Amino acid sequence: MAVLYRQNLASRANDVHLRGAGLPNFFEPRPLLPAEDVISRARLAAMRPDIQENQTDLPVFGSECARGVNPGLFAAWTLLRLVQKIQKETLRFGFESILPAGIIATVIMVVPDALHRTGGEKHFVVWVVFLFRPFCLQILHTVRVPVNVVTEPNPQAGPAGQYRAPEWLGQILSIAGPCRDPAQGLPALGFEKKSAHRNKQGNGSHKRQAAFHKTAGCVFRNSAIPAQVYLFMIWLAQSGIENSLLPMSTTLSPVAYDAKIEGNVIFTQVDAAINWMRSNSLWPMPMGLACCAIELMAASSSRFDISRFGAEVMRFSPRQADVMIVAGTVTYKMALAVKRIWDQMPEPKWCIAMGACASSGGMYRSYAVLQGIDHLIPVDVYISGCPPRPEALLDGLMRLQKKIMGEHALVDQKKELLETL
Amino acid sequence: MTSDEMSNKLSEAFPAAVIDQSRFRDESTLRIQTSALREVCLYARDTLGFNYLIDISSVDHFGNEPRYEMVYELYSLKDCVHLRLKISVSEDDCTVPTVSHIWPTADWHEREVYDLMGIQFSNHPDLRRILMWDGYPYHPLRKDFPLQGKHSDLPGVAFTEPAPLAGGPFVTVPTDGTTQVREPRARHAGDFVPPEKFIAEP
Repeated sequence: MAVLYRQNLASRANDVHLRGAGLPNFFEPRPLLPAEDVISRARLAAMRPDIQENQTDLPVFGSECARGVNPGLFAAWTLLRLVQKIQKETLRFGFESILPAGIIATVIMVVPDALHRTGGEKHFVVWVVFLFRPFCLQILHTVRVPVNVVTEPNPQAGPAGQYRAPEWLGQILSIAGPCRDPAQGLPALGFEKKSAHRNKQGNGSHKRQAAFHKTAGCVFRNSAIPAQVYLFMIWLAQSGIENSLLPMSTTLSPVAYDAKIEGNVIFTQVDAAINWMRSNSLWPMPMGLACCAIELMAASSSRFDISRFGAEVMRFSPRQADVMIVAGTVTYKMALAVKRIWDQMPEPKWCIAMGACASSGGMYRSYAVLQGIDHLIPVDVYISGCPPRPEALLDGLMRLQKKIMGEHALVDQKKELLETL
Repeated sequence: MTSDEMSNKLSEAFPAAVIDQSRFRDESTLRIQTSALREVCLYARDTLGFNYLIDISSVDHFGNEPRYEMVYELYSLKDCVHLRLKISVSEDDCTVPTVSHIWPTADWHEREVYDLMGIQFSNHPDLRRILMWDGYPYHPLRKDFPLQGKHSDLPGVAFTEPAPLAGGPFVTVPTDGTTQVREPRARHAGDFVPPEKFIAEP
């Protein structure tokens, strides 16, 4: 251990040496350029000589980097916004309202808040998200769209009571032109003319366009809404940025890495990203009821150190907790209190039944003891033992993490709620 | 003063109230009339110096009359003397005068007896259940109450279901074999065959 530690220190010292400037001062805020200055075309041209004059759509994270905004933070922020929106729409209208059954589609999402952040330039930040069953998402592309392109009203507005496409989605869909009758088939490539003023790349875009047609065309053949999405994808493909070539071949891998856009954009499935975040920041609600709670305490102390798994943040308010660790004998008198606390925990939530008593009543076959907490609340992981050692709890936690990584991040959690809507 | 002398002194003071006086392994026990409980306890506290009520317990002699029995464990912190008082409680008049005004600690002890055995205490300041919840219909420590419990439901407060004893209760049968053989609750209900010679303790 000591040798490893020394090596580690040495390698870090080497890092600092390579930087040539000693340790960076983490406490000094990075200077933010004034917004109106950043976006000015002259400055943009100075920073990015590869950008041509009339080209308005830039990879948003690249320009954010230039502004001194932490691109990782910005990406996380925007991703969370996106997820909130999707969750909201899904909860209100159900998955089927967003996509008809059996359709695989690419959806374009707008992050309206980014409009505010980008200051003087009137841009939406647009997410191109590949959406496929069972409701997996992949963010394919982010691009800035000039606001003045949005002129038409929402074409997807249905009669009252039916699903109305959200305003921000409708605005983007309208970019691509009026809705076409799907019976007419996919639009011809003549759409190129309409966006030719944004396309300064010459013949290269035709290949991409053809690739799009080939890939997307087979997907969107029978749907009206995705036809417009398809148009927009073509428009994106023609927009002439190297990075906008969508990695269609990697749609099934959780994370796609592209060295060309390193530090700017991460292509991932939202499922993978959200599950990764969730499983590594499980905040437990310590429902310590008996001797198992002693082992639970031991698990969070330094020898076993549950914080190695991101679950050290014991929350005694159920509203801040993700996973309830029922550690101990659940008497009937306590049972409904446990249920009540469980009900107060926000979705998504998980439950670990720690020890024999919480799992099955244990040795208490008696009038006073609930024979397993799963009579009242759904349990994800049972841990045997009387009481289980802290290692067993950690093992259960790791199993729960694996389980979370396999979940569908957006729909599975709210099944009961969706049924009642 | 020893506990023997205390016991004698008390029976001299209340000759009519003391039914029986016994001694076993240096522990003195007095069986007294229920009606004289209050006077005896006051005398024991004020005159004999039993300033500490260790415990109150109750016994269910199911099938005998009187059915219940109350046991008071007294202790004198001054003399380091222990004394046990017992009274019998019939099933028909299941009421005992409280001693909580003599020893305030008797309050919760008597609530526990009331909760689990169902014996009432007259003049008790706060006779509520203490372990089970208000509205629970049974007194679970009575001998005629099954160990696995009974169904009850008080919506929003609590519920109970009979526990699966599966031939239990939780005992280990002194035979050779695996845990499944030795521990009846691990078997399926109906499989349980009582051993010919059951040894509760070695």
